Parts: sequence; C-alpha cells; structure tokens
Amino acid sequence: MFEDKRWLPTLMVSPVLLLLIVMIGIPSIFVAWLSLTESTLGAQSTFVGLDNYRQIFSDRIFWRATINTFVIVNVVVYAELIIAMLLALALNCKFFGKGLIFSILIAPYAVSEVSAVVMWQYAFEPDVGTFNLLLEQLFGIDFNWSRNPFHGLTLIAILSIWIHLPFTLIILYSAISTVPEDLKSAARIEGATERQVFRLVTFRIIAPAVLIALMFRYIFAMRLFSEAWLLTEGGPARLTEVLGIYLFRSAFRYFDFGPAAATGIAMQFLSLLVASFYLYRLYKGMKANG
Amino acid sequence: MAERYLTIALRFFIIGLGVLWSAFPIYMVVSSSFKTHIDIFAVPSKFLFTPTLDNYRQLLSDWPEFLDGLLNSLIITTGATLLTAIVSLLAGYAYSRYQSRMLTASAFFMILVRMLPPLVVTIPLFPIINWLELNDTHAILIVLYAAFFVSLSTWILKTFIDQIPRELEEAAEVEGASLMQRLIKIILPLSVHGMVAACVFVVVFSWNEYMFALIFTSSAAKTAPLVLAEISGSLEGVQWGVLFAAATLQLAPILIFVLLVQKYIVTGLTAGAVKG
Amino acid sequence: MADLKLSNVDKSYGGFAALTDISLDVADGEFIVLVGPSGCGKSTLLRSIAGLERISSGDIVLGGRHLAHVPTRDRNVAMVFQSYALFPHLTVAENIGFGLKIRKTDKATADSKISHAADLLGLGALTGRYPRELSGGQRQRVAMGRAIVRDPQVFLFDEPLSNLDAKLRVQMRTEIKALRQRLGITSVYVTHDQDEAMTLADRIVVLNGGRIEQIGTPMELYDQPVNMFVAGFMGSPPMNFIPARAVDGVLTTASGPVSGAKFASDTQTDVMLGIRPEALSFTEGGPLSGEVEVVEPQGAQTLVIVRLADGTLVYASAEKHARQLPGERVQMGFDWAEAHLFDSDSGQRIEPLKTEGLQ
Repeated sequence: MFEDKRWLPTLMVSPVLLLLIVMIGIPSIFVAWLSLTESTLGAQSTFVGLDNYRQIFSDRIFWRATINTFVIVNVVVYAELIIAMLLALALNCKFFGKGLIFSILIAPYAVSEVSAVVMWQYAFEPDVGTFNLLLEQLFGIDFNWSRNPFHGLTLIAILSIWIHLPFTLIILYSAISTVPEDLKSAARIEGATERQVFRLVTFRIIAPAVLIALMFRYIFAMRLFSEAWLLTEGGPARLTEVLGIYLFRSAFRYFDFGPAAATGIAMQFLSLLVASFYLYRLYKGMKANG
Repeated sequence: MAERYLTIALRFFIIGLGVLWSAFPIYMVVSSSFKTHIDIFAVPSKFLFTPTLDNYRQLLSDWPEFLDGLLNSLIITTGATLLTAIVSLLAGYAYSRYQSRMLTASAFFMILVRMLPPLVVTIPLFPIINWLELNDTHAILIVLYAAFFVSLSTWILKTFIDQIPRELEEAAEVEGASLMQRLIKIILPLSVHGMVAACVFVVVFSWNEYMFALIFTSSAAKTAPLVLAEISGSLEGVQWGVLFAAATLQLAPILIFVLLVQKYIVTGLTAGAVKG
Repeated sequence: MADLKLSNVDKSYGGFAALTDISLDVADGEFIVLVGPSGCGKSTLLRSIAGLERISSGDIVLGGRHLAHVPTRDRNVAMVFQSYALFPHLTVAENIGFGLKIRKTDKATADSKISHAADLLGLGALTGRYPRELSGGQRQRVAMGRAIVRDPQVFLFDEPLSNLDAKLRVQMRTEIKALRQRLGITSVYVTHDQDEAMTLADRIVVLNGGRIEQIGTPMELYDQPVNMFVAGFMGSPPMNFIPARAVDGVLTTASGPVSGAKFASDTQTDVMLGIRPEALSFTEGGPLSGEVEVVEPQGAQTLVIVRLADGTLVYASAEKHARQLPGERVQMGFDWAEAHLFDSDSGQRIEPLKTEGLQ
C-alpha cells in the first residue's frame, strides 16, 4: 500500500482529533484560565489570581462535598467490585438459561439516570415504597432519604451501584471466563482447595482486568452528578452535595464561573491522579511499540 | 458431595439475589405503569392486577412535549451515532494500518482526554455556545455526545480492523481498488460487528444522557430524559402513574436494544476498556 | 501479455538490505520461479513488482512501462496470495469478478468472463458459494480465477501451494502447469520448494540473502550450479559435499586419493567435492570408503547414509532392495562427469575440471 500518501493517516484521524480538541481539549485547558478570573455571564472577566481557590477552599460546603464525594466513590467502587466478583464467579459455569440471566443482570446499563431515580424513588417512597416497608417491618428503620442526609447519601450510593454494576460485571466476567480450565484443574490436582484455586490462580490472572475496572470506575464515579442532582439536588441544606453538584450550582445557578472552574480543576486533578498510573504504563507501552 | 451441593446452592443464591436486585426496580416501574393509581398505592403491592392504559392516555394529554422529547432524543441519538461511526471508522483504520510518531502521540491524547470529567468542559463551553447561538439545538448535543465517545469507538474499531488480514486489502489493491474502495468494499463489510460494538455505547449514552441536555437545551431540543425529570419534579402525589408511563416509554426501546446487542457490549467493553 | 525487466533493484529498510542489485529479464510468456530459503527476499521482490513494497532504487519495467511511480492498482498485474486472500463476504463469482467490478466492466462482459474462468478452473458449480464453504483446493482455484479473469500483463504467485497438503499440492502444481501452457501468461512464481521450481519453471532464479545467486533453466541449475549454495539448494536429498585437497593437481579425500582427474592448478588448494546421491554407486575398490550409518527405504529407492573417515555423512541412492546393513564397511565410486568441485573458501565452482577417463 505504498502509494498511500504520507499525510493520509493524519487526514483520517483528524475528524476524531478535531472533535476531541475542540470539545474537550481546549475547554479543559481554558478552565484553568477561568479558574484564575472572576466572571459572570456576559461580564468581562478580570484576573484575580488564586482568589477562586481561596474562596472554595475556605467554603465549608466545598469540603462537605469533597468528603461526600470521597466516601460515596469509595463505597460505590468497592461495593460494585465485591458484588460483581461474586456474581462473575457464580456465573462461571454452564447452566440452563444463563444467557437470559446475564441479560437481566446487565439490564440496568440501559436505564437512564432519570428513570433509575424514578424507580428507586418509588421503591423507597416513604409511605408505599416496598423497600421502605421492608426496612421498617424487619429492622424498624424509618428510612427517610429526603430529610436525613445520611439516608440521602446512602440512596445515592445504592442508585450509583445499581446503574454501574453491569460495567464492572462485564469486565470481571469476561476476564474470569478467559482463565483456562486446565490451570485450575492442575491446581486442584496439586491439592489446592477451591479458595486457594481462586486466590492463587484465578485472581492472579484476572488481576490486571480488576485493576483497570477499578481505575475506570474511580474516574467515572468521581463524575457523579445526575443521580445525586435528580434525587436530592444536594439537599437538605446542601448536606448531600458532591463535587459535581457543587460545580453545577456555582456555574449554572449562581453563575459564579470562577469558583466553578476552580472546582473543575480540582476534579480534573483528582481524575488524572487516579489515571496517571494507567496512563504512565500506556505511555511506556506506546514508546516501546514505536 | 455435601460440600458440592452447598457450592451449587450458594451459586444460585447469589445469582438469584443479583437477578432480583437488577430486575425488581425495572419490573416495579414498568408493571405499575399499567396500574390504576389505586393499585399503585396498594400495600403490599399487587402482583396480579387488571392492566390499564389510563396512565399513558393521561401522559399524552398532560405532557404532549414528552413525545417531542422522544423525537429529539431519537434525532440526537441517530446523529451522534452516525457521526461517531464515520469518524471512528476512519481513525480506527488509520490506527490499525499505519504507524507514526504523530499517531502514537494522538492515541495517547485520545485516552488522556477520555479521563477528563465531562461536567468540567461545560463551564467554558456554556458561554461560547450561547454566543454562537448553538444552545438548544440538536447539533450541539450530537457533537458533544460524539466527542465523549469517539475515543472508545475508535479503539474498538481499531481492534476489529486489526483482525482483518492486510492481504485482503493488498489483493483488492492488486485488483485495482483505491483506498476509498478498500474501505467501502472490504473494511466496512468485514467490520460490521466492530461497528455495532463501537456504536452501542454512544447509542445508549445519547438516549439516556441528562447533564449536557440539562445545561445546553431549554425547549426546542429538549430530550426525553429531561422531560421525564420535569414530570418527576412536578409530581403532585397522585400522578405517579403518568411518571411510570413516561419512564417506561423512555426505557423500553433502549432496554430492548441493549438486550439485542448484549454480545457486542461485552466484546466492545473488553476490546475498548481492557486492552485500550 | 508483456515482458518484465528489472534492473539494479535495491530495497532496504532501516539498515537492512532486503534486496541487492537485482537484475532480471523476463520474456513475454515466460514462467519464472523465484526460489530460495525463507528470508532470502523472494517475496519482497514479488511484492515490489506488484507495488505493495516500494523499492529503494533501480527500475521495474513492465511491457515498456516504468512502474516506479505507478501505484499498485494501476499496474495491471494479478497476484495469487499464499493465504489466497479471498474476500470472506463475497461469493466465488464476486471474488473472481472483483477486479472487473472495480474497473466498471459492463455486467454482461463481466459475467461471461467470470463463468468462462470458473469453467476453466472447474468451479462452474460453486460460483454462488462463499469461501468458507470451499475446500483448500477450491479456494486456491478461486484465487487463480481472480487472477486470470482480468487478462493482466503479468501473474504473480506468492507461494500459492504452501497451504495445501502434499497430495493436493502435486495435483495443483500439475494444474498450474497445464493452465500456463494453455494461457501462455508471463508469470513470476515464488516458492521455497525446489520440486515446485523444477517442475514449473522455464527459468529459475535462486535468491539468497537478497542477492541473485544464479539464473538458469532447471537443468542448468541442476547440472551446472555456480556455487555450493545453488548446488545444495537444488535437488533432494541435497548434493553431498566431501572435503578434499588438491595437491599438484591430484585430489585427495579422507579416504585417500581420487584418481582420474587433473587440475590446472598445481598449487595446494582446499576444495569441496560435490556429488549428488544418485551419482554415487557402491563399487568394490571405489575411492570413497566409510561405514554405513543408517539405511532409509523410500519405496522406489533406498537411501544409504555412510560416515566417511573424517566424519562427513554422505547420502547415496541404492536400488530398491539395498543389501547394505548398518555398521557394514562400504566403498563407493562415482562418475567424474557428474561430479562438481567448489572452492572451500569462496564456495564458487572450479572450472574447468580435466578428467582422464573414468574411475
């Protein structure tokens, strides 16, 4: 294929790169500039140095949102990992109707955040919600997520896990199904118990996939906005806010773009921090491949 | 032997719980959309009931803009999917068939960009899009949705095109085919599965997306999830049925789609997330 | 049809020279076989003719047209790939007619050409099938069909038979030969199988390390190899090389002097005596002696492998029911007319060999 011109590959990737640069690349960098200025919609922006950072770092609500985000992200990611791992292991055998079961398990992937919120709002409806009734009758808990911030955050976490479990499940399930049956048999012949087979064979082989699933979920979980916004809008009294809501409120409710941009930079920083390990490995791999 | 049965029992217990967890909320909303509002509020909730379409009738009369929302969602989803498919096929082909320093660097850039939170870019985009008077248009959501999925789709297509032997293209070339003819007559038909796998994600995302739609649309291009959220927000006690009907209409097409292309979701995710 | 002329073709990637100074004239209608060990550059040369590789310098002229800046698709060559490279999503007829369709040949002409090619190759009943529904031999024929249907100026074959089993390979080889006698198309055929080369070629080009070692008819290469590489490559089992020393024109091996030959040189030279297995005979009192190591019956003949005094293993063809037994001491003779001498250092053939009667 030597007649292909040298500029051809560049031309072929340029639409993708153009989209990425214009819609994500430049805005992501421009945010850094905005975070150093004070501007509201329509007004000229003025350079204010690190004032916006000072402002958000001295804002109690920002720290509350940061802690909420930190707690929810960790709970959600690890709960998903454990549930998905159990399900993937349980599914790793042949049985009748497995295809249908797998379909049902990944069905929540198709559900929009809005519909999911409707579903869980109904299930936890204070008067008639099935789960609320169950909680009250079995444990005597009055689960009131719209008044109690802890209950509110719990429901946000449950909702997040519910929507995103299919992603983790698919990655872990396909990783587990690539573990050669021969290796496990060999370990059993050597006298390993099922637990040892998992720990010494299966887990070692799927570990890279687990790491990648974890990393992606960390990065995506940090973006948490829609579910939380739709469920509580950060209330009551901004106690269930997460970083996404804090940013959205600053930018699109108070039109305070400076602090919003500073929050955005903080979110970008955290995302890239998590991703840096993966990106570093990728970079090295690409350099090795020329 | 006893241990064996215990393992099997445990296995099915876990799977049973998983199925209940995944299906129950969907089942409740879909089934309740066919209930009268007396049945909706029955305690404990009824599993046997006489289905009715009252909620759907009421939805159409109270919220005619919901249908517009569905139409907007359809237009935007179709647009974003086509855009993603075309640009990703070209880029995926280039990444699969050529090597250069520029390509390596741009591939790295693509993955890096994928890690950035979408909410953050709305801050600088919002004033610019307003200034360009692109807010509340289909185009802006199409471009935004495509932008956030082209890296994944490109990567998925690259791994699929990698599996098409170069010799097929060489043979076509010897037979007189140009690059365009090779793409259309060889690569496209042989990467149909890859195209589906690469597009599933942007389809589901575009149909369901809430945040960008909330920020960048107000009336003309308002999508179904946004109208659904409005219905939910304006709820006055007795209107749950209407909300369930709307949620069911928003959910049903994409749920059926996801179940049909399930296989591609699995291959796409493993190709795009794990390897890329 | 056209003639093909390569002059001083070089190709290198990075610091590696894949082809060095390749010059070759292929006459109109001639069947040329490029042969050599893997990595010798034969496929690279073929792909350079097709334009799938860019040459670093030199010139390729096909039917009077300089190809250097002509892209593959305009070269009017046809190629049969090792993997056949059939389009899996197209039927047999569509595969054969692919090039015609690309060139926008009108449908009636295309259809008649396709069915003509299909009939010629015995694919008439299979035109509606997909490649995955065909056997290896049938796929091979479809690839041939795609090549002949367009009347190209030259046919390029890249090890087309290497994916077939031994029996089918011999059968297809015969079919290719019959086809080329019928169509008389200029062809360049790459193989690593010297049997295929001998059977098919008008002339063979032996390549090694990106250079041409020798060009000649199959019998020229067999009878007059210019160096040890060609001598060892052509013929199976390969030619025996027995270290020897020529002192004052008399040749001496580890088994003692070999009488009957004189050399122009009267200084002392280390040489290799090259004798094909079929040129050796078991003769009492012959100049080569050793111990039988292994006896390998092959059906039509039996191979007897003999270890000479200096440890050299020599393959000798014996009659069908060989009497030799492992461990037995034997003596062997040969006809000087079928013997070759090569310089030990350079590997080049030493000429002329003056013989004084037969041993």
